[in-house]
Amino acid sequence: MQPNQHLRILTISSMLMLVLSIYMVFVYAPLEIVMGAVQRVFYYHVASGWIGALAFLITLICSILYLATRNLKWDHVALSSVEIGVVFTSMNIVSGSVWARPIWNTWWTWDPRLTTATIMWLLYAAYLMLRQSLENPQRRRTFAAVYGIVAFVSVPLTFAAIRIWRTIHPVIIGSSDPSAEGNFEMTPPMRNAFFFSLFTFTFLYVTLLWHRIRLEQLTVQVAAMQSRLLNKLST
Amino acid sequence: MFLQESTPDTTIYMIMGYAVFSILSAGYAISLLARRRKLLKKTETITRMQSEDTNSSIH
Repeated sequence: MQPNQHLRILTISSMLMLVLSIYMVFVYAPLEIVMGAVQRVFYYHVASGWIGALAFLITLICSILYLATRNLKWDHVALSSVEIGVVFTSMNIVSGSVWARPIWNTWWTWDPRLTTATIMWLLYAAYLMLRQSLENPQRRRTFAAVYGIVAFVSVPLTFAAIRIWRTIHPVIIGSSDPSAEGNFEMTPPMRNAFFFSLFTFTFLYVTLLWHRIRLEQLTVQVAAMQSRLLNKLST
Repeated sequence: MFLQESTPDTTIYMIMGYAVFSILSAGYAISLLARRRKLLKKTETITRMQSEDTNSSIH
């Protein structure tokens, strides 16, 4: 597989944007007076949650396209996107737990948002396990596509959980439940750092997705070479 | 929260939060690189075996 010049440029740009976003989070954005330094976790916590949701949305779209066209490239994108989504959702859940400790005085509580996010994470982790467990490639791809469509129900549910149920998880954009703990008003520099983090993570997602798709293509290529060699040796 | 007089020192939690981001993202990047290296090695081995097989069939 030849190195791709566009991918190299994209990777370097992502790294530069990440450095700039670190500067914005730690230097440009002011210290939040009520929560202190831990509030800075917010910028990447929300951005990683956003990437989780975006990745699973891409999986939904690609799963539908795979079932409609049976084109392998859609299956590659769906699988790659789930893997990245699971990594970013893990970041979101664990960093949220770290943020909760000083603010809610607990590492974990079965709040509607935390519960739905965990269910979503488990559903997509199961997607990856499902793919590993099925031997027949055709069956594996079809099952995964159907599963990728059904599992997406958990994504809007997780997003809406803090808006429809009584919860202590704050809503930063929109109005929070009165019982929410950890709410804060974003100042303009905080808002800039927040939106820049979202943009950087989106860019990073595209870069990682491209790398992961190439890896999947290489995996398929190697499997084909392997079976050709085995056929040749057996005859 | 309402009665607090000064900003609490929660730096350790901020460090822990960013350690989570760093460890998970670096871990994923390393896993991508390791898998790619393994596949490239496999490709090399298969190509070598194919060429050895071709050479032996010629002789």
